[in-house]
Formats: sequence, structure tokens, C-alpha cells
Amino acid sequence: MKKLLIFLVAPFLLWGCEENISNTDNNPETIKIGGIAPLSGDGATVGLMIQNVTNLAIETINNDGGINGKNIEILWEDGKCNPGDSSRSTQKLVNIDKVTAILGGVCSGETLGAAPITEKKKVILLSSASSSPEITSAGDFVFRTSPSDNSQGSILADYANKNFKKVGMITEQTDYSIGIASTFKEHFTGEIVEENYLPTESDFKTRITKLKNENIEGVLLIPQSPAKFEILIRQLQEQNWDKPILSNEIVTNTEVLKKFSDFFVKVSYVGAQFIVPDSENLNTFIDSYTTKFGEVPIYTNYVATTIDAVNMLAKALKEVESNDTEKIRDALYNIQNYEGFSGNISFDKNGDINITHSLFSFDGEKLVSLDEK
Amino acid sequence: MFEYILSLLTITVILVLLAQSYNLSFGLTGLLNLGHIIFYGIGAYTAAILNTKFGVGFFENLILAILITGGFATFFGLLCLRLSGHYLAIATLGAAMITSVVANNWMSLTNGPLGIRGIENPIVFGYHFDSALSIFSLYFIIVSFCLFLLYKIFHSPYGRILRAIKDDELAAISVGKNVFSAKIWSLILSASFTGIAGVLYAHYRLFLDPSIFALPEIIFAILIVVVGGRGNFWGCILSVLFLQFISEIPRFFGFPDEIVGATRNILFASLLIAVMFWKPNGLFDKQLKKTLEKNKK
Amino acid sequence: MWDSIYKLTLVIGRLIFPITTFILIMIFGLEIFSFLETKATIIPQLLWNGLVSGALIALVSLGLTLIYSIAGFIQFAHGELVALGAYSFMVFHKWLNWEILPASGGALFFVILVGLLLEKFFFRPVSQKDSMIPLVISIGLSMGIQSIILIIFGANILTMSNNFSKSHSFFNNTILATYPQILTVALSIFLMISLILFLKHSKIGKSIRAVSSNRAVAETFGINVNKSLQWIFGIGALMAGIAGICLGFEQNLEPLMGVHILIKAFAAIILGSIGSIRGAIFGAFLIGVSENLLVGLGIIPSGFSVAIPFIILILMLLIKPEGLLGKRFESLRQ
Repeated sequence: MKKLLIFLVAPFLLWGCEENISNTDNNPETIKIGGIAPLSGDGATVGLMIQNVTNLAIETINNDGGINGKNIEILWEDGKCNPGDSSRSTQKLVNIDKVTAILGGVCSGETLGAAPITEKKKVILLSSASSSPEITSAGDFVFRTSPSDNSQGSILADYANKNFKKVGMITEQTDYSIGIASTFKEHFTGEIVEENYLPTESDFKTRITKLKNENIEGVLLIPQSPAKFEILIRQLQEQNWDKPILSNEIVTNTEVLKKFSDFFVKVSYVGAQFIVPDSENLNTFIDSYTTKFGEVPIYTNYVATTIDAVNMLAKALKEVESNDTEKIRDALYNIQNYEGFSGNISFDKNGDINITHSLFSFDGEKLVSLDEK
Repeated sequence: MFEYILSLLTITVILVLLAQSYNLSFGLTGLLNLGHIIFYGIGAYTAAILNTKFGVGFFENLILAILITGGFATFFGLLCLRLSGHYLAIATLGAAMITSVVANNWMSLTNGPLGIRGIENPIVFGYHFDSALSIFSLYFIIVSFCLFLLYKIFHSPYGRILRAIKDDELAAISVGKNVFSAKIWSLILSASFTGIAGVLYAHYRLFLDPSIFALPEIIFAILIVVVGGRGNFWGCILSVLFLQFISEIPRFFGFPDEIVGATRNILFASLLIAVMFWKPNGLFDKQLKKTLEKNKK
Repeated sequence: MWDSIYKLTLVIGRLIFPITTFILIMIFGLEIFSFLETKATIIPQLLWNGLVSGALIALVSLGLTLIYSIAGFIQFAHGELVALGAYSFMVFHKWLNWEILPASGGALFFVILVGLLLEKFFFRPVSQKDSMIPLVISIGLSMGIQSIILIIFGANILTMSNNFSKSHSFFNNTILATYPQILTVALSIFLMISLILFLKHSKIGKSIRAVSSNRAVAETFGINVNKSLQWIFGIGALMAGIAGICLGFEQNLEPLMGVHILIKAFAAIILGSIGSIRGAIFGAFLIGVSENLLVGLGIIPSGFSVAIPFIILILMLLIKPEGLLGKRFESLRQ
């Protein structure tokens, strides 16, 4: 019984120690920021690319004199594309490393898992690839340089409203895909036949058979990854699918489209894409990336948003000249019409960026914007 | 650093309760219940939904979670406990599948894969437990109390009946013990304590999504109980500390990022197999008894 | 108290539940009939889809149920043999550019080898102990092999061939089937029949049956138990490997592919009473067909499709706890 009492009292004794730990261990020579990305597992392809881009962009800033003479130092943690691991990693970055800002996460789940912690500790969370609509309201210190899924869902719905009365929808049950699907459902006025699948499934024949019997005029595919998109397309072809196909931005690299180009031309394909303007700066960056890492970055648009995120954070840090995160936050909100790699950008009052998706079709060779037609 | 260690400790404390309650049904009674994680998930979802939608407080959630997980356990007990161990294993694994699918699909209740955000930290008698240390202290007290109850159960006459069922069910029946009722009670008690662990998790993490039902979590729970020794009360606690320590190590060394998760799994798998081969009664079997006896003297 | 509650649930399950279902069918029978009529055009296709997935599940569950009937535990690492079959075939076929036949021969050889090694080094030493021990070991093996596949091949989803398989229509265009699908079903049925014949007529098959009905007695009559164990693991691995190759063609390759089909096979062997060959085949096709029919006809939302095998399983545990083809309470004593 005595032992039990000691156990019970011990944490209260520790309580007193809390005040003694203060954050004086900041190295004056460098500015520490954290990075969260899926470095292993499902999302690692994107995650490792964004890690490399961020490192390269920071290196460029440091070579140009850093932040008022101080170098930026980035510490990476694996968020594994899920809120649980991401919040563990965030705890470490915020409490041990005492970072002033975190770049990340990449998957929306990572950002949403990290947001409650950074918000409480008043640390800037700046994501360059998370697209969930929920991030808009995740907090005052949460920013992002990539467009929200809201714009994907709504422009797809606008297109569908003009062309179809009844569509089928095959959605993967992940936060990302469900987010797009629910915006689409909000804006689409016609009838929807909904089909869902868990990320663990890869047999869609029966769902396709069902949709074929429903008199739909087109099908909207919302997979989480390009690989699942390819499997869906294979099985659609095996079932002799002949209706138009809509999809989310998952096919940014046109590899799958080219592989089955005959099929896509036959049924006609329209996808919501977020494509950054082709610029001199971006091409030079991609060249230096290719020489340094020995491979071409696949997702050009996220390369652009990631560089913008790093540069905008650096700009805010330069203006503020201290570790006061509230001032950095205000500085970020105050950046207006910044000439970035992804266009002329500024944050709105929710910390979202002012760029959106637009619609593209496929002509057998490349993506063609529907707006220009 | 201090807060990071505290956050690790808080998770460890929750895991201790989860593992110890699993130890009651799997370790002590020998029920191979592969779906134990559903009780954890249901507890957590109960707390998350009631707290965000109806503003139900921390303590009320604890009580409701005990009732709800207990109810589920009764259902499963009646369904599977008359059957042999392997039926129970598969049926409970299936139950875990079903709950996870329901959590993914029932958007209006669980918000599906988007998860539930905005759960509050515990508020007890008007005091907000929102600093890392205060939460840890609160959880430490609650878990210690639960562990105290579990200890009493483990060493009560009832606990000895459970142990007898594991060793030889026929013998237990033949001396006139009501084996079925003992098994059901062990499942219900074990589920209720797990439900408490789930509530603690939800009020600490503040974000909840269906990944809580994932298969690796079940395997981790089995690993803890097996390493600690099935039915060994103190061994189970030591084993949680030991495994948490192992799994946090790679974070502080420069492992190549792509293979950290997989190497950790291989490490755990070899540990699981090695323990089953050479020390089926757990790593902390005999040494622990000796040290405890020494302490008594 | 619990005994009476249990008896009550048994009565509800055995009597009231089937009776209410029957009454409901009587009342809504006409509506069900007209509903099926509107869907009549797709039912053949759904049945075919169900047959294909049932054939794949059957290949996996036969190995599982055989191992259970001889060694007395559920082999969790069996699904990893499926994954190994698929991945090793891909290595031979796609990376080393072998023809399909030698590549599948190589892959099956490799899988059988792994199966035998697992038996020799992991399961035989503990075969006389509490059945919990080999079961937990197999869970560990499953996790280990998965991680090794993950390290070698990465988490990305891979495909077996670069093109899609062209489908051909049968029976008045009501069924679209690809050649790999037809081959899968034919192979699976051929293997089932040959397995049943093998167990019934060959010498080794007879000794396997003897060991499965009573190990101790079989041993005293001079039957080599270890040899039967080896045969069982070899046959199980062969079937799992074939299932893996077919699954790779039919769907795709990912490190967890074995676990996903294994979980369905679990439900199948329990449905048809664990340890019974015919039960396993029956359970596998029941699960494959009903999963596709329920989703395809829109009776259950497609998001729930993963849970369907277990919903059926739990219904069955309510109505007939000993398995659909099992004798009454046979399974109560292990």
C-alpha cells in the first residue's frame, strides 16, 4: 500500500519541476523549423519529393545570406500520412526542438493531426500539399500554399451540371477523396449513384457492373493515388466501359493517360487539375533538382507550391526579425500579391491561398485546358 | 524535452491499461480475442461523439463507455464463447473488420475517414486539464486505480477460476465451476477497462479517425501480452515499457526513413516468435518473481 | 444466469430469426421478385464476378483448413504465401522476362520451398504444444514476411502486365470474362477435384486423413506424422502460390494483398465448419457470390463490401453455430 501511495504522489512532485524548464536553449546562429511529410509507407513518393524540394529551397536561401545573416535549419519527422504519427512527430518538434514554424504536413491527415498541437503552442504550420477543406478552419496559425479540395469538387460539379443529368461516382474512403466527393455532392444538381471502396480493396468489377446498369451519363472517379486510378481504368476497360470519365487531380502525371490513350480518347476524359504556369525560374529549379537527386520531380505543381511555402515563410521571418510567432503569423497574412512560382499569390483570412483548380481534357497526347477552348 | 517525455508517458499509461485489460481475457483466461481493439475504438468513439455533439463531460463519458463496451462484450460473449478458441479468434477479428467499416461509412455519426476533431481535454469539477503534466497526472491516477482493481481481480478466487480455465477447461468444469459464466464475465470486465482506455485516448489525442481499428494495433496488443507473459500482471506492465522504449529508439538515431517502420515490424515479429519459442511464459517470468520475493524480505 | 441467457439467444437464433425471415419473404416476396426482374440483365455478370472471387478464396481456404485439420491451428502466415507467389512470379516474368509457364513454375517452386521451410523451422518444433503457440508464431511470421516484401518491393501498388486483359462476351453478351479469369476458375475447380481425389485414394492422402482424425492412434499404427505435415504444408503452399499468381493478374500486387484475401478465407472456413474440405469450398463460393450479389444489386452499400463475409459469418453463428456443413456441436470440443 505504501508503494502505491508513492506512485500516486510522484506526478504531483513532478508538477513543481515544470516551471524550471524554460526555452532558453535557442541557438542564436540558426533559425530552427520543422518538417513533416510521409517519409515511409503509402504517401512516401510525394513525401520524399517534397522533402527534397524543401531542402533544396532552404539551401538556396541560406546560400543567399539566410534570414538576416542567420541560417535556416530544418528538422524532418515522419508523419506517415496519418494524424496519429503526425501528432507524435509534432509533439517532438514543438516540445523538444522548439521550432518556430513547421513546414507540412503533406497528407491532409498529417496537417489535421498536427494543427491542434501547433495551435496551442502558437507555432506556424505551413502546408504545401494538404488539400482537405477542413484545414481552412483548422486554426489561426495554419496556412497552406496549395488549393483546397473545395475548388476541385465545385468545378467538376459545374461541368457535370452543364453536361449530365445522372452520374456515377466511385470514391475511395480516405479523408482526401471523401472531401472532394462531399463538395461535388453539394454543388451537383442532378442524380448521383454513389459507390465507395476502402483503401484496402482493389476489385471494382461488381461496382462497375452495377453502374453500367444504372443509365448514368458519366462517371466521376475519386481515387487517393495514381495507382488506384490505373486499376480502376483497367477494370473499366475490361468491362467495356463507354461513358465519359471525370476525375480529380490525381493524374497530374500523364503516364496513365498515355498508356491507355485510345480508351481515354474514345470515352472522353475531363479532369480537375491544378497546373502551375510554366516559368523560367521553375524550369531552372527543376533542372537543379534533377542534377542533384538524379530524378525528375513528378508533381511539378507541388514543387512550385513547396518553394512558395519556403520563400513566403522566409520573407515573413526576415520582416519580423525575432521568434515572436504572432508577429510572423501577421506578416504571413500581410503578404499580398507575392510573385511566386505558382502565380500571383496571397493568403486569405483563413490562411488559404488564392489559387484554384481548372478543368482539362485529354487529346491523346497531352492535357488541354477547357477554359481556352 | 520534458513535455515530449510526458506525452510519451501519457500514451504509455493508456497502453498499460489497454494491455492489462487484454491480459485479463487473453492472458489469464486464454480467450484468443483478436478483435479486442474494437472495445478500445468503441470507447474512444463514444467519448468523441458524445463530447463533440452533446457536450458530455469526461467522467460521464467514462461511465457511458463502460456500459456500451460492456454491452458489446456481452453480445460477443454469447455469440462466440461456447465455441472453441479458433472460432472466437476469427469471429472477433471479423467483428473488428465490421466495426472499422461501420466507422468508415456512417458519416453522420463518426464523420467517416474525415475523423472527429474538436474533442475537449478533460474537465473535472471545473478544472481544465489542459497542460501536459496535469493530463498525465489525472490519467496516472485513473489508470492506477483501474490497475488496482485489475490486480484484485487477478488475485481473487475468481481470477484463479479463470487461470484454471486456461490450463484445463474440462477439469474446471468437472470440479463444478460455471466456466461459461466465468468466461463471459472475464470478457465483459476486460472490455470495460479497455473502453476506459479508449476514452482516455480520445480526450488526450483530441482527434479520432477509423485508423484506430487497424490490424497492426491488434498485433501490438498481442505482442505486449505475449512478451510480458500471458496472465502475468507485473510482466505485462514491464513489457509495455520495454516495447514503447524499443519503438521510440529509431526516432533518435539516424535510420533511413523509408525502412524505419518495416524494420521495427521485423524486430517485433522476431521478438514475438523468439518469445513463443524459448520463453512461452514471457520474458519477465522468473526473474520478476525472484525480485518481488526479495523485496518482500 | 448466463446459461439461461445463452439458451434464449440460441432459441432466438435457431427459431425466431429464420421464422421472421421466412414471414418477411412471404410478405414481400412479390416485390423481391419484381426487384430481381429489373436487375435481371446484370445478374449473370455478378454471378460470374462472384465465381471468380470465390475461386480465389477457395484456393486459399483449402490450404488453411487442411493445415487446421492436421496441425490444429490457424495459419496466419498463409496469406503471405499468396503474396510471395505473386511477387516471385512478377520477378521471374516481368523483371527476368521469362515466359509465363517457366515463370509460374519457378514461383510455385519458391513458394512451396518457403512453405516447407516454415513448417520445418517454425511449426514442427512447437507442434506438440498448446495450439495458441503456433498460432501466435504464425501471426509473427505474417508480420515479418510482410515487412520483408515491403522493404524489397516498396509500398507502391504494382501490376503484373503493362496492358489490360481484353474481355470476351459469352451467353448472349450477358457475361464479360477475360482469359485470366476463366483460367482462374478452371484451375481452381481442377485443383479442388484433384485434392479431394488425392486425399481419398492415394496412400499419402489416406495417411493424412488418418492423422487428421486421430493423431495419437495414427502414430501408433506407424504413420509418419511429420511426413503428412510436410505434405499438407506443401499442398497448401502450392495452392496459395497459384492463388497469388491469379490474383496478381486479376487485380494487382501490394504487400498486404495476402492479408486481404486471407481474412475472407478465414470467414469461409468457419462458415463451412473448420477442418472440412467441402465446407471450405462451399464457404468460399458462398462468400464470393454473396459479396458480389449484395453489392451489385445495391442491397448493401458498396462501402460495406469488406464487411460482408463477416456479416454472413455472424448471422450464421446466430443460426447454426457449428458451421453450415458441420455436425451439431462437433466443434464445441476441440
